[in-house]
Amino acid sequence: MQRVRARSAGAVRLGPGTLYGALSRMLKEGLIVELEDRPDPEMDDARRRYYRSTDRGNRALAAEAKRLGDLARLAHATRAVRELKQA
Amino acid sequence: MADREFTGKASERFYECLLLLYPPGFRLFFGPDMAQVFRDAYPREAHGKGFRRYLAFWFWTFRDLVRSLFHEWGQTLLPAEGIDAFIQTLTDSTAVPLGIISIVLVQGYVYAVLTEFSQDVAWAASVSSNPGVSNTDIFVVAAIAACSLGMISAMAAWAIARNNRLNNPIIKLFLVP
Repeated sequence: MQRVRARSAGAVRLGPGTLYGALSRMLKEGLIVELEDRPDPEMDDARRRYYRSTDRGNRALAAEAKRLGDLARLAHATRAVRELKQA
Repeated sequence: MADREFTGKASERFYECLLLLYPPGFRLFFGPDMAQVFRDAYPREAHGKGFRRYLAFWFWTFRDLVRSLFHEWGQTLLPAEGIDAFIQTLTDSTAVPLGIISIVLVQGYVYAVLTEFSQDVAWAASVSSNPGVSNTDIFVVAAIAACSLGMISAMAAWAIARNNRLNNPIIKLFLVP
């Protein structure tokens, strides 16, 4: 949650409800799986759960990134945004 | 210092009570993790950081809670019943419990706010130093806030019942990501 907030310069603030709601939906849809294996005990925190994206999850991520990229390109191509850039 | 520790523990217990509002399956699986996230976040973001930070933290927590509650209950009820049945169930079953829960939550919240508030403001400090006055003041403020929230809940339930459609802005506010 802190990393998301830092990487978005404070624009995105995940709460526990949003975060675990998203995890729940991704687990149900098979986009991620919970890992049974735990890392080295020295690096581990007993309170943590570990998840890994599945092949389906990776494909969904790539498709969503492409969709957002296309959307951003479409927005940049509009006259209003071009005029804003020139100003 | 002891007051702050008490406020921190009270806030954690309060949040754990709020988690009871989630659907049982979701709560059993993720509840302990969510409580732990709150326990980590509270001292970092709110505890002893002043009243404004405290209020902002709880505002953000409540917003996150309410939005995710509607999402999770929607996810739980929608697949089997459909959106109309979900809205009907919501209308039929939540108006009275929501009012009661609102009163309990607001009283607890106002008490927690006044406890934190008393560390920052002389007025509240003087109020909380007089046990005979503080209970009455807390009760009056809690009653006013509870009535306000109860009215908002009733209005929301009325709006849902009247429209009973997804294009209701109140439903949209919580169901549309």
